[in-house]
Amino acid sequence: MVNYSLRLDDKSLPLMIERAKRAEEAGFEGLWAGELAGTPYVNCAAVAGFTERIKLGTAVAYGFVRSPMTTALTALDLDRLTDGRFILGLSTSLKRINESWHNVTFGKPIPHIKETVQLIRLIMENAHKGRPIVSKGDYHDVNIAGYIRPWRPVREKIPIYLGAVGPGMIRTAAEVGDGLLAHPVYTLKYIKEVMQPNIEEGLRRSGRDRGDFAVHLYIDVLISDNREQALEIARGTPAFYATVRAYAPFFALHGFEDEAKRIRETFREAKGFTPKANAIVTDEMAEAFVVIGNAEEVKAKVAEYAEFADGIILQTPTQGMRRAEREPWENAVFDVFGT
Amino acid sequence: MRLYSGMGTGDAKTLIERAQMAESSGMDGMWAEQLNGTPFVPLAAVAGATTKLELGTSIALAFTRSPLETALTALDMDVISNGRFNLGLGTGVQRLVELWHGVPYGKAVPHLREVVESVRLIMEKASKNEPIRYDGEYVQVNIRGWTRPMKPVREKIPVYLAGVQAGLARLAGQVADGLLGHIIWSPFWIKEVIIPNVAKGLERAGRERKDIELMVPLVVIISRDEKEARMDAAREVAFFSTVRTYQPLMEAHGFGKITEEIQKRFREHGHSAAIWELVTDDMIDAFTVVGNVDRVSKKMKSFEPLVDAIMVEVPGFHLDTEKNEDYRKAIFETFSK
Repeated sequence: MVNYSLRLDDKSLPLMIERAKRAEEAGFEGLWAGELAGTPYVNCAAVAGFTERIKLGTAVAYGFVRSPMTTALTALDLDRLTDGRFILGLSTSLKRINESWHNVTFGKPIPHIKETVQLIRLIMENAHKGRPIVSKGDYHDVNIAGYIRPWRPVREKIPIYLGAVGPGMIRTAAEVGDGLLAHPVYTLKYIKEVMQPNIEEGLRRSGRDRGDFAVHLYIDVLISDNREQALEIARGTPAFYATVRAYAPFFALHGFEDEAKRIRETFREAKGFTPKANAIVTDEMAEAFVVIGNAEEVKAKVAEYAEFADGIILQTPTQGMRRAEREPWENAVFDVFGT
Repeated sequence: MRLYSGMGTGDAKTLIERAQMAESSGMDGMWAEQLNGTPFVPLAAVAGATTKLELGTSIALAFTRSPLETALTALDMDVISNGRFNLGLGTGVQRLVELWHGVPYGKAVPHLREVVESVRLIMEKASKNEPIRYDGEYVQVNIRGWTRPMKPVREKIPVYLAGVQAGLARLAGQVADGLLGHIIWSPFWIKEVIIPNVAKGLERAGRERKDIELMVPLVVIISRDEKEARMDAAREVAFFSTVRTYQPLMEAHGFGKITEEIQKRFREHGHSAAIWELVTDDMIDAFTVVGNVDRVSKKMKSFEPLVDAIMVEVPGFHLDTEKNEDYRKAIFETFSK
């Protein structure tokens, strides 16, 4: 049966802790912290001591902006801190973010992330054994000798999930990862036509079964009896993602190539987001990316996604809204999907 | 004199209890190190359970995360601690950075300077919706089209640098808000090497002595069992004697011959009695503070004219043993305000 998780972030720590406790009490499976405006490990660590059962994961931490040893030790620390509740979600992020913003090598993302995952795993599983850890690849060259982490790991293995957008990265996740963190832009069409066959292909390559692999889908939900209001908010989601050139093929697959192109033009002209971009998003386009409706409608639609997933991460696309405006949308998620 | 404590490691419950004990005993702050793990994780874990305690990294390795990553982590830490975070950065030793982390080390001092400058620049501009550009020899950053959606808690997050020897002490004098000493700084070394070089750095940058906090970490063992306490201190000193980078410091103290022998035996026997037994009483007294409450208090007082802050630390050797928890409790009780 599918389980439900939520995002982990908030304006201040007391609010974040309150949210984490509330999610745990409401029976949610996990909380996921992301990386863009901040760093995911900090938030996971910050709520660890105030929760007991709920899983804490990164969705995602960037794979190339810290050394593999730093990532591995951070994951081991978090697993120790949470007594085995941590999940390491990694992604390549975008070329420009890696190279221009973070000043690190991007290279070929698929071989790079494969090598990174394998090295992180090697370090996590061997750090306490005191034997040299040697790995030489196209992207990493390490020789960890004379180091022994003085604690046994809490678990034999910390699961590593990969964030993926395109088919190649989905195959890679299924080939080398323990799970997939599907990007919020996945639609049902994309899940059926692209995600499913590529997961099968990746698992086949590594000789594993679907049961060895966890699929987590990120879904934007807006639960309300006021459909028009929900639609207006929902338009922001595809409008935001359409500005990213790397997602262009994705919009094309859904027949929204023209809209995406026009949205990118408004972004270029205005040098940023404008209300014009939202106006380009049709009802159909908004509903392809965001699940909208009253409680029963949303439950029914989410159930369609659930057929393809082990876990569903629910988020409300209310970025940029004031806290008081966001709250009703978040409360609705607790009401409908909590226990 | 400000008084800090080392954070140590543990699960969330242990760390929270320890931090609350430090806070209620009146400690000014706690610092977490990067060696077996990462410093941000334990600090983040106690942020929600404390309200006054400053939380700092001593240190975070400067070259193993991107400057943007370090800056964002620091900003996040300042959010969750509501303005109580100190970012301590250090180069780490060359072998560890290059071979273990697989990242370039280069020339440590100019490299660290670029990291400090770029991290500060990013922290300052992240929420201002303008391009962020830094073009150095080691660090190139070109961030456009991105704004951190929340305002920073404070205008500036203090940046501390860790240094053992002259070069980094000068750099700290030029650019840092604090200098984190090393456990093997002795009063002699602080007087002869650290203070003059910090002064040089301050002068170059047109800054004053009050613009930088000098902090010395001290292994403090308060125990009635003097023999056992000195044995624990000897293990700690032996550990640092194996690091060849610190050899000039050991030589300056007149311990060069002994530490050479320790390094030789270490290659054969590892951390064992074979190297502990070589540590002399003079070495223990030069680098650690051991004894009963009176003796420890007197020795700590002797640092007062030299530094602005002391970080009391238990021996790393025993890690999370009950004995170390007892040593910690003795420290918190002794220095309770």
